[in-house]
Amino acid sequence: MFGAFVVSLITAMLSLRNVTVTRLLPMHGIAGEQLVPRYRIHNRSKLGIFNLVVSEESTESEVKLNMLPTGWILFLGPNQALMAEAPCWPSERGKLSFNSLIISCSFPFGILKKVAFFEQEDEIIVYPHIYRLNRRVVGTLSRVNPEGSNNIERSGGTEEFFGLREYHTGDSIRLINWKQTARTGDMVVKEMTQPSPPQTMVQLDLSDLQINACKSENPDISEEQLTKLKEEAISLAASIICDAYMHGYKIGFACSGINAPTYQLHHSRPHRTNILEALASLDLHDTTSPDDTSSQTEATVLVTLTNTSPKLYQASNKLALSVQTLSQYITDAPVEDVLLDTTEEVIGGVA
Amino acid sequence: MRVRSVYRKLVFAMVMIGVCAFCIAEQSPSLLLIIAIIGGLSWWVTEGPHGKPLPRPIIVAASAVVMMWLLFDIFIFRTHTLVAMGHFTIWLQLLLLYSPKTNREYAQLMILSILQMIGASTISITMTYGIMLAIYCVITLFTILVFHLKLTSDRLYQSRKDAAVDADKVLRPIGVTSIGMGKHLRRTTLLSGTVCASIAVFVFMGIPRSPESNSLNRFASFSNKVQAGFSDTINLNRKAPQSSSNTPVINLSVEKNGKNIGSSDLAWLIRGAVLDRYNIRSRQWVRGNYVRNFDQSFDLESNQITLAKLKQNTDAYTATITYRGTAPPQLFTMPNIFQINSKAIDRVAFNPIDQQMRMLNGDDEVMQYSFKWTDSQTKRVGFEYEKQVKEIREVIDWDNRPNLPNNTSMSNWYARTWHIAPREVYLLAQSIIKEKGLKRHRNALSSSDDLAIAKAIKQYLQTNYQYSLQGPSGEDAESRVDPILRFLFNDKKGHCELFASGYAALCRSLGLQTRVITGYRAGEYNDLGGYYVIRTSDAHAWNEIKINNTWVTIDSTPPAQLAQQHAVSTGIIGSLQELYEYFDYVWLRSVVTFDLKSQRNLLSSIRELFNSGDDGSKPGLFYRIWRQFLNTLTFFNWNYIVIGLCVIVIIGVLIVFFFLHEIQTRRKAAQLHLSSLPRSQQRSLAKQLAFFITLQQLLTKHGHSRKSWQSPMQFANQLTAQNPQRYQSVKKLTQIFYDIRYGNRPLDESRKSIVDSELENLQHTLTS
Repeated sequence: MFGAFVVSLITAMLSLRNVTVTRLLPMHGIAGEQLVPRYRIHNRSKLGIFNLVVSEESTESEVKLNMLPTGWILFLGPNQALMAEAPCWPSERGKLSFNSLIISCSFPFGILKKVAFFEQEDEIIVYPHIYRLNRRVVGTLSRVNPEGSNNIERSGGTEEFFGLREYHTGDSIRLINWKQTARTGDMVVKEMTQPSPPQTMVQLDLSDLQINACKSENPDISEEQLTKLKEEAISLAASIICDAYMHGYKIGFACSGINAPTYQLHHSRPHRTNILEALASLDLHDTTSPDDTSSQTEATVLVTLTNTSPKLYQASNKLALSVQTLSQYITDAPVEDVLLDTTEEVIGGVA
Repeated sequence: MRVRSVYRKLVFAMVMIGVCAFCIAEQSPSLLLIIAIIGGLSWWVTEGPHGKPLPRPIIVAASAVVMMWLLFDIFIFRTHTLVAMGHFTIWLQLLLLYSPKTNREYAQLMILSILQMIGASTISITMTYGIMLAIYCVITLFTILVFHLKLTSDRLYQSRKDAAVDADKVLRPIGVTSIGMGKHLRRTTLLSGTVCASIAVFVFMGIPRSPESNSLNRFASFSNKVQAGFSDTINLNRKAPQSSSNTPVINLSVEKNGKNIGSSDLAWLIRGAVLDRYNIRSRQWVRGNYVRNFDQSFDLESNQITLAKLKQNTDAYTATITYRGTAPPQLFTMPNIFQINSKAIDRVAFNPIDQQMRMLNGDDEVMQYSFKWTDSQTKRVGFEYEKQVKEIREVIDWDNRPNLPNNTSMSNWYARTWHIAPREVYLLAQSIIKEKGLKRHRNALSSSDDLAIAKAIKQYLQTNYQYSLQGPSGEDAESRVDPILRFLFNDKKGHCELFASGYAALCRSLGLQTRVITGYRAGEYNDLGGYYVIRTSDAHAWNEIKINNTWVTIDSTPPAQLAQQHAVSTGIIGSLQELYEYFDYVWLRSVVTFDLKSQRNLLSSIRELFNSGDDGSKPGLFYRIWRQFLNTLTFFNWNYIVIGLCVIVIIGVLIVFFFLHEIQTRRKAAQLHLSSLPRSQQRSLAKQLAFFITLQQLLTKHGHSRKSWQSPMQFANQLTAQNPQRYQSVKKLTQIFYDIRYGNRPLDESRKSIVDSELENLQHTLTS
């Protein structure tokens, strides 16, 4: 025992010297999904280190973690660097802040533990929880598209017949309308319509009207339950946006009742990311005045808190989804990795 | 590295070595076989291709059975508690090997195994167990280290499972490792083991067992299967104490005038008990009360006692006896002993009549003593007892003497009478000596033919009687006929005790003083260690007969059959056994018997090495060397001393230069990323590619450092693309670097000249 203590003492004195740690965070996390911060540990000493544990000392943010990210390296050789993965599961959306790191080593016998601290502040956005929507929801989205057609009535595409025109140099031979050419004697080519993606404008309705309607539907509802409903509504909106983006829709977002920027219809990944970040950063306490109409847009999809609202919107041929019937829209299947680009990483937190 | 898989293998090895070591310590091969089979099967059952642990209810039920077995072992079979607990832990460990195992079960297994080894350490002193213990310690150390890694992994896994939304999807943490983990783990284990072992050795040397501890007897008390063979009485109703066991009990080395005279051709009879009285009823040879009265105790001052003075021109023999088991109170000696030395014995009892010596006071672990004796039988010289011993002979309690013929000294009748069928035995003895033309009257105290008579009877027994180890049957034990008479007149075969008894009966019937001796016959000589190995099967009985006032040793057992009985195995197996026993003996002397006295001796011997001899004692070795060195210095001329010092300094400088050069070469090799190559190749390439380091340093100095992801050629191309004329030399030098490093080209004169000129050009270009 005494020998083991001496060995532990010597090891504790010699280990974790000239070791540096760098935290590598992904671009974002998703509430309820695994978030994998990585730690690059560089051992510049001449001694190898066994059983190296790296973890966060604490996180100071509104996002709750069930456990602090903890990574493990079995052996780190001298003058070598390794990457330790430390999965964690954020339970809420918002900004997740990291302050300081701890690396520890209790090898060989676990009698003594050497600990080293590293100050390194980082931040990451945790998106709202993304549901995997039922396929019918996406189908419904396309049907309620007010534009009605998937094609723009404009030449230059390859979709459907638009008209005829005279041949210009460079036109494809395949587009020559031989029948008309024979008839007229001049070269005539067909013009085709351009494809036009469907578009979805999602409006998240968290206005007082909705809240009051919700309270009138369920008088016993507590503030906690109401907040949970709001969070579910945010998640549902985020899910619709992700799903619509994946299906090639132009997406836009507006929120009523809470201060949030309005995003016009557009189809790009940065645009989708901006919307998701806006949803992640929504402050439920930062409400707007009832007279504020800046967020009122021509939304095609409305996310509401009550069951009564959909009826109101049926007449206007809009799709209204209520969180009260959330289970109808989602499936049990997990969110696939391809849904969101989780593989991107950036050193030092949010890009 | 698959920590869990490695750990499972290690813990299995640890447990199996532990249980096997216990069986070896207990000297139970049958248990070893059973446990090896059951334990080996457990791996196949639990870890095999379709392996599955047994359900817990079965394990719990079996544990209850094992608990019952423990009670049986202690209370019914009367096994020693420590041994029974050892059996209990063995079965518990085997059950745990079959059971589903979490970290709790693994920890239980390890603790049980370690406890069992501690228990086994108290019941065995053999070297085999020592080796097993050393192996066990190494495996255990490795297991503990890997267990620590596994615990961290499991703890992390469990916390992740608790935190995850869907615990089933959480994967076990993968042990991320750098290259060479196995090597580092082995090195760490070796280093940890060395430190722990060094501390253990230091503690062992510095704080040895106290002399009061009774460890050796304690060890021996567990090994009840080992029969000593020797007995201080002879019971003729019983089978002879000829053990089939080959366990060594004593090592004996014999010197004459300081020279080891042991050889495999020479056998010695070492006396243990001297028996002069035969009890007709119990049919036992015992030591008579008459002779017991003359026991006198002596203190061993300065670890020795001299009992007698040697006469001039008398050769002295010295024997050293080392016990390898429990020491009986009788001290094994030779006839005509006159001195005994021992550090462990404080007080002895010696009897000048039968020359039997016993230990009265001393360590229970009398492991070693030596004594001196003289072979007065052949030299016709001898010794004279010291005054103190003489006084004993004069103080005879004549008032309590038995009823003996008048005017006869009792000492003359000592070991002379025979009362069982005296006439028949006398007639037989007379017939034996009559054949040789000898005769003797039974009442005569001595005659000139006594030696011839003794030899004639010995020859008769050896010729007409057969040696047999077959003991008396139950009917024989209850027979009214005395075993000695049955041996002499009916069976005419028997073991050494019957031969000795029969010989004593025949000689005593003729009026010759004869006594029976029990002890050992030492005939197996270990050439490697220079000592005789005495085993339990070497226990023997013989006679001493008094002729011309001198006790002569006579062994009437047929020598050929006796030699066959004590035959030593030869060939490779015999040599290996000899080698093993030698190491075992060394182990016993240096490790097992290391006590406070040994420690003091060790320290004093170290001190003696540096002793200056001021107190009149002999100067120590190191002190003498130092004096000799000083004398040498004064003897030589100062010029020579200065030259010598210069030579030493030059040699020192050369050594320092060599080491510096080596360090520099290694540094260069590291800079050139040659560390993975063999050492000789590293040296060669580091020497040839030194120019490339110069090139890199030159470029770095001017703000062009190569990125870690760039190959040398990419870097050269990059520079050349920037300014072809300015960095043309870089490309050429890099090409030469490639030729030497990867193309196996030498740095010959032409390349060397190119390198020198290009480096010069580059330096000139960069500075301009």
